[in-house]
Amino acid sequence: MSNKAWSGKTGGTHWMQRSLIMMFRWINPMALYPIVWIWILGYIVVGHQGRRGIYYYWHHRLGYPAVSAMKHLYLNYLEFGKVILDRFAAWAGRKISVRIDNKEILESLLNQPQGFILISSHIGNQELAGYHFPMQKPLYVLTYQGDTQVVNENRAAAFAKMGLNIIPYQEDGSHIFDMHKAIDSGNLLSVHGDRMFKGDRVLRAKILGQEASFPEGCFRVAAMEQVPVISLFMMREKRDTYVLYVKKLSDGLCAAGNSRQHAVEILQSYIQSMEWILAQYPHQWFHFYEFWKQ
Amino acid sequence: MEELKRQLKQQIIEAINLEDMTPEDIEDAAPLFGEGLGLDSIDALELIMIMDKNYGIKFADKNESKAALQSIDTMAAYIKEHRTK
Repeated sequence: MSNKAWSGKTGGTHWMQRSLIMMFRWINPMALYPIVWIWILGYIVVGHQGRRGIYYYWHHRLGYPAVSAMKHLYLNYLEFGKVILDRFAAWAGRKISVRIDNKEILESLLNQPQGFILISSHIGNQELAGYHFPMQKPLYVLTYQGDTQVVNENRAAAFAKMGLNIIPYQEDGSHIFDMHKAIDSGNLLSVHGDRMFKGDRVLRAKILGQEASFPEGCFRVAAMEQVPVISLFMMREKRDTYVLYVKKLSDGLCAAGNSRQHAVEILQSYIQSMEWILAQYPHQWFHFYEFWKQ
Repeated sequence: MEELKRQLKQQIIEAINLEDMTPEDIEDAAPLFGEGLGLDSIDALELIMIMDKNYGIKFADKNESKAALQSIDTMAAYIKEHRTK
């Protein structure tokens, strides 16, 4: 059983990442798809932990026979490759078309004076969701800072351009205070509901029929702040086209002193939302580690 | 002041769900985090909410909150000076 924390780093050398961004100023990411088809094979061969995690998802959780699960594992990686290319293309300034599903929920929440919390996952292209979010209020994003220098630099530049504010994840947990300040000031807060770091407190709950660990922090913060909570998934439809799915997980009503129970309720709603989106886009969950065994 | 400290301890026990503890089990000067009561950053937010909802105190920055939330003694002293309700 693996208990390693996921490194969370984007693959490739600094030179490769910078070259991609330069290249996408001139060419469409689709031009690189034939390279991705082959490149991904190398990734699958070398990335034991990621391969095991994705294979487990297709074979043991979605119930596909072994050979079929291998085929879908490849398609899952392929979809990831396209999503990553789209991210670099966004940093190069390329535009995509985005439709917002349940836009009225988002508009209603944005028109209220209080802030709200957005929980996303490693499903779809969550980074592009931030870049195409209707920015009527300041949005604070809890962000892992351990990625490569090129990714961190470009992410920071894209965030600054969009007016997004980064709350860096801190090992001592002090980012929780910044999350509270953001919400308490009527702003929006974006967190991941499926990323675990070493030492994180966990909530256990079933997803796709088997119990897994989820980070307790983001769900407890959502429960304690007593503000509305939504899930947000930016799903890739076809080239240059995405759909941003919005679902309300909580109205923010919670009996005083009962944040633990309310956190579990928000987690259950979040899991339902994840299962709903995965039923439509099963190849777009990019958990390249053993999610059910962490 | 003693009544405030007893009240605080009770609020902490309820918020953090320290089922086996009574206010008498928490020493006034003992650290609430780390080797003391063993609270962590998630619990810290519970304390921040106690300060906000029960005493109308909003911390301006995290260093100020860290200093105020060290122990029951520091919390009570901070509340006495800054409470708005």
